[in-house]
Amino acid sequence: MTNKDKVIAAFLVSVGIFSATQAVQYIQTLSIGERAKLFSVAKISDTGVLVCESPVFDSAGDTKKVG
Amino acid sequence: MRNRPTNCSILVGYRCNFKCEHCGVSEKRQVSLTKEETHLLISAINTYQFRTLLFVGGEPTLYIDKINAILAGIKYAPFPQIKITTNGHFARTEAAALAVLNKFRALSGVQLSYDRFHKAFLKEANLSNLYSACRRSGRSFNVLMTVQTPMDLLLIKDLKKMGDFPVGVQPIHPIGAAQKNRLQHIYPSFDADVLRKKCPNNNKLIYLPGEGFTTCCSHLALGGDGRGYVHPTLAGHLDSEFYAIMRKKTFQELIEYFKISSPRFSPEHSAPCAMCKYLFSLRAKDRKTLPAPST
Repeated sequence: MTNKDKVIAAFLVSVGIFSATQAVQYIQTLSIGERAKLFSVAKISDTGVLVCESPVFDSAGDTKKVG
Repeated sequence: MRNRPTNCSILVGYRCNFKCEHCGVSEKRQVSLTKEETHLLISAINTYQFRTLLFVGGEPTLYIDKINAILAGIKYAPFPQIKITTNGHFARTEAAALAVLNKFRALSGVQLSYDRFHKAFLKEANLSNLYSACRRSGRSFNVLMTVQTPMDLLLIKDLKKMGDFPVGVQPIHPIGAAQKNRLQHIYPSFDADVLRKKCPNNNKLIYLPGEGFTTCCSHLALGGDGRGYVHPTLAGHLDSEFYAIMRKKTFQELIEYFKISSPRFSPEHSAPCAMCKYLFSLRAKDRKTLPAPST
């Protein structure tokens, strides 16, 4: 697993869509191009991306801030 | 009223001018708040003095009169924070966006639902216009993004170019139109850590028109008839078995409380909502019926 893969994994965990194990498993299924695209998003998403549980609840008021 | 929820969401009505294939509430019947429900809500809001009220739909800007009727009845201070979750259809220009936002008697913030699915209906310009209108009028603004796969997160790059606002991410839950269209977030394996978690929304409330108050915004309330999970009055819900166990118990503790002997977990049960639905379905199967309402 490369450092870029680790950055992607940390990003996927931080936004709440995978656990660390799941993130690693998922990344292993990606092509080099797909990893590059996700890495580019992870780099710019170190602040201001939140874990949100539901669109019918207030996500900005009380969810943790990532980064 | 110690430890009572401080936030309440109100689903004003199910009508929407978008037909997103991943919508979790679109399959519900076409109802909206009645006058009687409006009176009931005003009474509950003044009694429990919520700090934040979030109006959702459907599309809440199609129900501004109903929302203003509720806001007019609020009698306590400080006045609660008022927010909406909208699809942004009205923000064709910044002025048009501001005009709609200013129709609300009070409005402190806007959550815009925007993702791969909403993008089919909403121009990027609407997003920029709504963000600008919120900034100009001193209202908070954030985007809610629902994802089916992590590749859907690539849209964040476009959003970051438009402005420095928070983006909330949530996986698709297979309810409503999403279930009908077989859309859900795919997990590569089962994550047992979910068993140590409680319902992530157990300290929140939502009012569903024609039904009542509940802490569930997913399968149990929106995916079925809500029996035992939704209650006509807030006091009734807060006194219910459902509210009590969801507040206190982790999913592992629910397994023990329900006396479920051999649950079989699949990757989809990594999501708290899917785990919850599974455990309550096993309990109902065991009882041969859904749990009876406690009020």
